Amino acid sequence: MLALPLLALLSVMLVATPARAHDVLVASDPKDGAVLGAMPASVTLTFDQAVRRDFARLAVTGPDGAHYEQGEITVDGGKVSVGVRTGTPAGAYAIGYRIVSNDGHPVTGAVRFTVTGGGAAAGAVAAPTATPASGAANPGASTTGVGTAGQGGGSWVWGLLAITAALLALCARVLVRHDRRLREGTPPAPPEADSPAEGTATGRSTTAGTGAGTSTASGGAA
Amino acid sequence: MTTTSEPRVSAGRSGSGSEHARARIPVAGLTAAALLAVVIATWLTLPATVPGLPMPGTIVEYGLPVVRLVLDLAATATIGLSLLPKLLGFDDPDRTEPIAARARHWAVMFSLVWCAAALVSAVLSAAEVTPGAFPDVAAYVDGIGAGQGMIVSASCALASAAVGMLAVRFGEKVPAELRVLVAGFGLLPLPVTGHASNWYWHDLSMVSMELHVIGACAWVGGLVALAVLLPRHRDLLARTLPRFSRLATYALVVVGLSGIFNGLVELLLAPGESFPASLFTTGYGRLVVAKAVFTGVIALLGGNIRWRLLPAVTRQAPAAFAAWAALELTVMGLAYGVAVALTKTPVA
Repeated sequence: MLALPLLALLSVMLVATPARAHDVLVASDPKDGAVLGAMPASVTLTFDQAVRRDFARLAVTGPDGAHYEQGEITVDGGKVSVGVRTGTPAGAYAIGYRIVSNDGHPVTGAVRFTVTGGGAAAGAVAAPTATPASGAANPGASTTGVGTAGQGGGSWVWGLLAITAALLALCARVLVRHDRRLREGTPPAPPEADSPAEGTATGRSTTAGTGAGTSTASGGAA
Repeated sequence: MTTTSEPRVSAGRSGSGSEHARARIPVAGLTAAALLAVVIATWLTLPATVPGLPMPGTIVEYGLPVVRLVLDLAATATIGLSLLPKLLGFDDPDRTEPIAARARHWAVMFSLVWCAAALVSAVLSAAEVTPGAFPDVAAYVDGIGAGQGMIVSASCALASAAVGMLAVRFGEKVPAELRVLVAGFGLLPLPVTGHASNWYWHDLSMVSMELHVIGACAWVGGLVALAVLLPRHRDLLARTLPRFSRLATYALVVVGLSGIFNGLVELLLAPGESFPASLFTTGYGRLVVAKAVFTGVIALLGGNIRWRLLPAVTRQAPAAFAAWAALELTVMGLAYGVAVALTKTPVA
């Protein structure tokens, strides 16, 4: 009975062309496992959705474990690229990446490739192409820097968090003390302390009421 | 008034040792199972180290799911304890008031825990996206919806605690509906912190997730409240369990359907994964299967309570309700632990 609408729903979803929240790496330049004659001037990773500039990180690690990325990371839609230093040795390289999806989750991974050509030659070959490549990427980079706007507010957030934590601790302490007083059977306050509005139905909450009176008061004071 | 409150106090003191131990079993089962599941699921789906980039430390990798689990469980307990007065009914205030008073007290406690967990979770999330650097909470909350969701949830938890404090002070004069509503608002931002899809069917998917979270909280929270506060009071249980049973049936249908829908949507839309196989080849698919299996087991255990125990409970005859409820809660804990890992696991 329920299977029919579910099936209909599924079939509709199959034909829909979606974009998901968790960004996925769909392409890269150089490709994963590629063997290149020379190191390109820059490396580019392409994700299925636009990537947030403010949290994107790329690293190009060489065969000697050193970092070979150079310059600012540029983001253009789903394309994330970074320049590569000249004078790279031949060997196995890895592009490590961490970007943050729209849903706030980090997406990490690595693309590996091998360069066979020598460092000096590669650098010489790469140099002419480097200028137009970075120039083309720059318009995309003009949308960056938005993320730095919120940096200044860091300290007061920590203060706010500390104050909230103190408030929570205070509330919890008052509640625990109130509960202990109930359990130890402290004689309840005289009846006139209760508001007359407290009614017949909640007669049992007399002890609860007096203890909580202090708790709400101190909570409000904090 | 003094005389009416005396018997409860003395009764609570006389048998407090064994009673408290027994009341703790369902909570301990739920918490331990959830912790176990979340640690194992996190370990299984831990991302590989990225060459050349710093990785988040162990504290963040495991702390974030654990804190998120604490958040989920505290929110669930808050909802369940706020619902309890509705389940108890208001026909016999003399009998129900001591239970309701304890429920109000613990509802405030869990609201406070919920708020704290949401804030810690926001800090750890900020640390997760910028490993190797000091977490910039302001930028994270400013820039990312998940951070905002956590802050909104924490605020709602705080509001829920405030309303709960009023309820502790003024008893059931503060309507249970209000308490459920305020706490329920705190649940709404939580799906945003998971895989908030932004595809064509986004709205439907979000509604389905909201229903999933609300249904699970009412179901598990209600059972926690019943299993901890009511087993000793057979007359109250006889009246309350049928009401809860009806709620649980609706919750099972809602949670099951919305869970299947969302799990399959994520899997179907994952680029580069063929669907039926991805149930078993991807970590996400395996977690979905695990959760579906747990839901099936919970449904069986719930059915056992509903059809085998409920008749005895309504006759106020001795029935092993507490034991079966504890078992069901333990399986629910496993499902909760997997759920936390599921919200963080990439599909492909």
